[in-house]
Amino acid sequence: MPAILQYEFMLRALAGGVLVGVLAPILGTFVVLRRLSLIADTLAHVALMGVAIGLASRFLPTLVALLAATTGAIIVDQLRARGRVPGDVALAVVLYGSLAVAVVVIGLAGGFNVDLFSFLFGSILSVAPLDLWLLAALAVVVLLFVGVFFVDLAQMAFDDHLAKVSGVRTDRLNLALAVLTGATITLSMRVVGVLLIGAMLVIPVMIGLRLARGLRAAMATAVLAGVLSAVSGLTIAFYGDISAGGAIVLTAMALLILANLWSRLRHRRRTADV
Amino acid sequence: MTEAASPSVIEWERVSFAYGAVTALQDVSLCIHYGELAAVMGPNGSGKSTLIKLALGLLKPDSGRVRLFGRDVNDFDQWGRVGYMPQVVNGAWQDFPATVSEVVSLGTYSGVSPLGIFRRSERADVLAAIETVGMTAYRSRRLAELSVGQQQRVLLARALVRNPDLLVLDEPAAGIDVSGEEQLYAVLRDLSKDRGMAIVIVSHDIGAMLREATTVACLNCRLVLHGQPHDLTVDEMSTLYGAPVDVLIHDTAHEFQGALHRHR
Repeated sequence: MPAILQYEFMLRALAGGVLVGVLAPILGTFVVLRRLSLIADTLAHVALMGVAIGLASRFLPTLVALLAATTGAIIVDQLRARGRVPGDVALAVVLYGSLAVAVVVIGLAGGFNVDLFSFLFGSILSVAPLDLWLLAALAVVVLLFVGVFFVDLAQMAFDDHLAKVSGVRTDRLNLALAVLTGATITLSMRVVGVLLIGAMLVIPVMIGLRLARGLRAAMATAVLAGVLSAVSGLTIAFYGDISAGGAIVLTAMALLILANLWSRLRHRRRTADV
Repeated sequence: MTEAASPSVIEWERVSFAYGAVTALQDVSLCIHYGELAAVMGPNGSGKSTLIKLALGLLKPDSGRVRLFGRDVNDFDQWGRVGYMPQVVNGAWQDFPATVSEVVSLGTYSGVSPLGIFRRSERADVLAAIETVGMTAYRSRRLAELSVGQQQRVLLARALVRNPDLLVLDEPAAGIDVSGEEQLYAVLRDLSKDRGMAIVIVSHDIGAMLREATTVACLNCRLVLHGQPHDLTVDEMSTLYGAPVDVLIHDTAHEFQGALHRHR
């Protein structure tokens, strides 16, 4: 057996990586197509605020972060739905507001420590059994949600007004999507880290959009790219003794470059044929 | 049935709407019936799109009521009877990976379906709608690879796929060449005459609207004119647009006047 599979922490990290690799691109497909990529970063910083409060109060940081991200998702969705402020401005205000709270709380609690560092950048050593169970439960919920509401979500991603006129309950679905995205981001923190989780919602999706024809195929390709990045990234992190989040996202970036090259080559060949 | 008691398809009753302090519509009452091909015209900012959005429940009126098939639009739930084709914005679907069949099949939506992710997109009604707009050869192409005019035809197919009783089109001919425009209006004429579909078109194309529509509603925040195309005079249209119409519509001016003479 290779060394990487002989450690229990590494098996947990790999399982977590696979779950994040599946979850983030599935939700990310709708986030990217609706041009809401900033929502991932915003909710990640809200989650960071939760982590800071959790670490300072010595209460389960993951659960506090989950609560914070869910609340943040609802607030962001309401701000967007009321349309009083442009979507990106609302997101920016929530992002910097929660980051400021996080920084203050971290300062009051005595500054950075190893635990916080692992939340920021992800760590193969920090995936606890509880994180894994929560991620697995979330994966079941997200797969059911997307399976049942796929057509509705696709309509919304295509055009919000058209979806409404088709009878899609866009208000409820938007809220559900925001809350599930918040939960995914929070629970993915241990593997990829707060600062980089947004990349897992965006980069694999871009790979899917470059390579696939059809929405389902694009989502499947994105999931494949997500899992491949997570597993290879974690392996590189293990052998190279580097940050898990950084290794995963750099692998995803490398795949994106390859996908771009492939897509350009294919396009050139097609135009040459014509 | 309420529909039998009220034959109108859309009814705006003393509707007013403002975006903040800016009035978009004031006290507008208008009815659209089965078999009517109604043109909604007016200068920019005259409330044309607002009128449509109110009818589709995308906006709520500040005062007045909107009814769809005799029911208040807020309580309306038979969205399968309504087809909507929004204005195509260049590049809006640049990243959207869906093929033409997939986009049109999105229009077949009929409530939440378990395992909707596995639903096939090449159903007979989808293919028929694609054929109606003459896009069969392109059905496996990605939407983003098509021209604006072709994208508009795909959206029309999407709006038609559920065989609606009401079709609402926002600037359907923008970005389409002359022959494409003629094909589009030929399709719409058939739908209106043969199937008795009520069709509402928002358009700046005065010449085409006066030629094709059975009724014309001219807006300028208020309903300025409403009647059959041959009831409208060049002077009335010029007053509505605040400029001589033959300057405003350039090369379609002759068409416009020709249309008037023909009808008289």
